Amino acid sequence: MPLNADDLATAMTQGGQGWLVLSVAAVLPILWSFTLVVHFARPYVIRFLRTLTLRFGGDVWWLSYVLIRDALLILTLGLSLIFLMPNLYLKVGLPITAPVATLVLFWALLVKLIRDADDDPAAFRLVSLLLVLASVLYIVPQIYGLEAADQTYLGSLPAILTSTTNLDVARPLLWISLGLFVVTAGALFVRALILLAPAGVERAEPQPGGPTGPAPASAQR
Amino acid sequence: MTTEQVAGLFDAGESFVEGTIAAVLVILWVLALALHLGRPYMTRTTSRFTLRLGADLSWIVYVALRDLIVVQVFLGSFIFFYPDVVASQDLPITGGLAAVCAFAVLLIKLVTKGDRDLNAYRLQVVLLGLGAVLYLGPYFLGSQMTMLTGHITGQVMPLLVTAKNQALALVLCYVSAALAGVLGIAAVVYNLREARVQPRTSREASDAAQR
Repeated sequence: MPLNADDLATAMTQGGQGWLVLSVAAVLPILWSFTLVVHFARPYVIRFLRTLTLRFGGDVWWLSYVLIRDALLILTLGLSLIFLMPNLYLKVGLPITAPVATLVLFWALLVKLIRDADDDPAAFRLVSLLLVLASVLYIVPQIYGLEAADQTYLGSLPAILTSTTNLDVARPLLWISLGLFVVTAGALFVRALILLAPAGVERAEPQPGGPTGPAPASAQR
Repeated sequence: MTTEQVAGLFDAGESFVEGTIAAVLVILWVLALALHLGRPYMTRTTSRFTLRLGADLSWIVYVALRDLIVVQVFLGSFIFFYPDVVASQDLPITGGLAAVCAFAVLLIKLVTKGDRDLNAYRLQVVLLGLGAVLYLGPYFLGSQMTMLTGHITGQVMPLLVTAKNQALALVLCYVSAALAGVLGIAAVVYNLREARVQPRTSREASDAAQR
């Protein structure tokens, strides 16, 4: 039966919304892989850095690497925030552990913020493990849930891994993740407020790695 | 327009995106291979620079472009790990294995001395050549021949296209994903072991280079 104008507008809007959200969900494994590849390319990047003959080239290379790596992490987190939106997660059908993956990614960024993962091996390992955990929590249900929904030989596995067909698990996962996300963000905000120094004091402190500041800690060892 | 037609419209959009990715991968595979094979030309050009800054920047741009394109090849090939996409689209049947080759190249770059290790570089080129053949062969002789008819076409084309050879395509899909997973775990373990050594920042590396 043909749709009238209002029904067509609604169908197009809902169809477009679903298409956009599912496209983001389908692109995210690629973005996750890109994030992991760049993060774990670190030994290669440092090895190449040591072959450069000029400090200028070294700085350009290192800054480009850090910029791309961290921008990818932020972009992945930004897009993953759709998994914390109840309407999308509980109605459209998304990877069941996607909200947990978003939360763990947020924790990885938190570690990067409060510790120096570039100069502290323990922090680097912690960030790496959190990123691996988050990517597994996202990529596995995305590929073997949403992207394998038509594969009947997999039995109920795709349904178990999809939020809309496993609401008993999906609902608590969403609300717990959302709660922990808010708590973490709140704690981060409070910490930032506590650590805020008076403007004069902040300016007087040397900026590590800046044009006139001292070398970073690792370079002074 | 009916509700089914609206749904069909968005399904068509999805198919269009996946088909476009498969087509773009042809260009990326050729570029990745060409940039690796073009290394002698780049080293020759770099050695002619009279300013060290120009040489350094030229080399940095070359290495970054070359390696990022291999990363893009692997990322674009992610659609070959999606069972539904593999089963429903006319994709090259060995695209997933080609993706594993690209990922193996990245792993070799990670764990060896990179450009200074010529044997490792040769291995990378071989793997890229193998990956390009595994991708471009079934793409041109399979995915790009689905609208043709003929005796040989009718026999060869269905073997090389995922949607027309689903049994093999799905096996290769899972095997490729498993191989990529194993390589990924190897990269993570290597990184975690490397992290025991205190990392050095760009400034220290530059100072070491100047000494």
